[in-house]
Amino acid sequence: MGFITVDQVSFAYNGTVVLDRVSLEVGKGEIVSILGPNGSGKTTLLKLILGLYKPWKGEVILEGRSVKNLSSRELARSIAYVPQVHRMAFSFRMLDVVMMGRIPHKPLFFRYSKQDENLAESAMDRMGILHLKERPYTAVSGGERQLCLIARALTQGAHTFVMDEPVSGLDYGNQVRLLSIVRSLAQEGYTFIQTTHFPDHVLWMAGRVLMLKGGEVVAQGPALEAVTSTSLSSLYHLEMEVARTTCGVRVCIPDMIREKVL
Amino acid sequence: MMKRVPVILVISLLLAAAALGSLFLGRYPVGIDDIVNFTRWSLGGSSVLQEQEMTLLRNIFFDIRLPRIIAAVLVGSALSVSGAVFQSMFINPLVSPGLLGVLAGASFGAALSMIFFKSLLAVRVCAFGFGCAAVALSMTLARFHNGDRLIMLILGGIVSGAFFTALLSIVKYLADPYDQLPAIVFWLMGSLSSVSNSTISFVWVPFLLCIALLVALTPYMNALSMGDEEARSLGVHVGMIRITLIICATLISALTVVMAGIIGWVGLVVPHITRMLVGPDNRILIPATAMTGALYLLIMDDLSRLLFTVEIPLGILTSLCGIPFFVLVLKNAKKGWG
Repeated sequence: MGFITVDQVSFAYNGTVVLDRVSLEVGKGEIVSILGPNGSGKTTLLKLILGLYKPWKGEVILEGRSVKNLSSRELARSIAYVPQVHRMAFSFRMLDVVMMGRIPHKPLFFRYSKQDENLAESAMDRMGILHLKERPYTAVSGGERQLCLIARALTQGAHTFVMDEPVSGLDYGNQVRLLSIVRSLAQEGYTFIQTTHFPDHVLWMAGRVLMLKGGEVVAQGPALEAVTSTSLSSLYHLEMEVARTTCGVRVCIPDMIREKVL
Repeated sequence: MMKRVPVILVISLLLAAAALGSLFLGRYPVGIDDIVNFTRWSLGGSSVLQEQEMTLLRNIFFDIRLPRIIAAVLVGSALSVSGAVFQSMFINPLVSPGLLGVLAGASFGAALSMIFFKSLLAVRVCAFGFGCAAVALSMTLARFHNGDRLIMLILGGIVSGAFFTALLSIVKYLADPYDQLPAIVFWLMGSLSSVSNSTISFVWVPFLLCIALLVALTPYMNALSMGDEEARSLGVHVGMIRITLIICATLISALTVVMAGIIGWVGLVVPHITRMLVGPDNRILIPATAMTGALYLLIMDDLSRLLFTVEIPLGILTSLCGIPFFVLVLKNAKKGWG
């Protein structure tokens, strides 16, 4: 049994089946990427894992316990949500956003203590954004916001981070930096489940991949085995090839650019 | 921000000064020597003045002006706090305490009881009851359909507010135009002139309890303004916290109508001004906005008493002063909400 098990989960929204008997095993320290076209049910799967939605059939088991039996407080202590970079209506300080991660560890009525602040600051330090702690969240760049949300997840004390398209809206440099941070955290034992629109990133992370289409699993397995010319072509309905460069790195090449080169 | 604490200190000093100052402001002139004599007399000392005059001063201070000052402080802080709570809960800085229909319901309740009962107590009870009923209606309507909880609540509030506003129009139409209608209209303009010590003694406990509970829940308000799903993933029991916030905000808003009728714009403008001063963190914003609101309404009430020989209804004054303030605040809106 894995660290997280998604067991034959189905989900319907207003009578439309969004996910159909999806199963997934995630081991500790693994990076699992969920690939699929828009509307394939990727985000729904994340929200089922987070316990935000209740499965229609099947169940999600987190560290041996069914998610539906866990309170939101208990869940928050072991699994953290890193949402897509968002705009916030109010300009909270970066430190205040990170400190929210302490909520599941506090009693009903509480004030943040000096210790909470220290934990939040050390998480920001790990992400290299401690110098931004007094800045308003609304005034920093998208990359810095994403790091702030990861720092909040670390402050939460969770072992598993669920990220919804973590690189969307980031420039190329910040995308690469973010992915390298994810990989080094995974080496420390943190588990990642992310949705993504970039098959190349899945190959870079070399974790495991789950391919969803129309709410059904079309392929899953180790990224380097499952991300192939055939699986991607059928997933996106696109002629493309996964090739290997001379230095051994795999890259996705859509036919469109191939025609130009040849 | 290091400047937050001094700002709160300045506001509380100003509030204390305004409250003390208001005691000596009014139609009946009270000089410094009167105060000195009165204090000496109260402490058991002898006085050059007559016993009768001292009793008159005591009446003015403790039976007329003090309850009014307390009422202004309570109403001002209640409206600003519930406005600020709704603004962060609905993630929308343009929301005011009347969003879920409490003010419309309370107006209808007050008007209805003015026709059927003659006592002021009945007016207060009905205003409170229908204010709470209107919010209960909008929360029930919000449960009829699935969908985004916040949007459903806002829609429920629009429906409930419109319903009670229509009922209010019926009551106004049926009211005796020479006697009842002017009384209704005047009540809806808002004024603190009917507040007495006995009113205060009824309302101060629930007022302070609700405000204390709201202040205790401020860390959750910050999380709620990140959106429902994010708040839940942070371990917040969103449903329970939101219902508690709505109930407390509704109770104190209904109580403001009980004491003073409809006082407009305070709940929208004061949280904005305070947010510009101390930032959007609810842990500081909510207590600060309570004091700023109290200060603001105290000054407005002094103006309404003193500006002309006849008292101007407080609600008119707060609207007239609130609007230009708001236009100034909107200038900052482009930079993102404070």
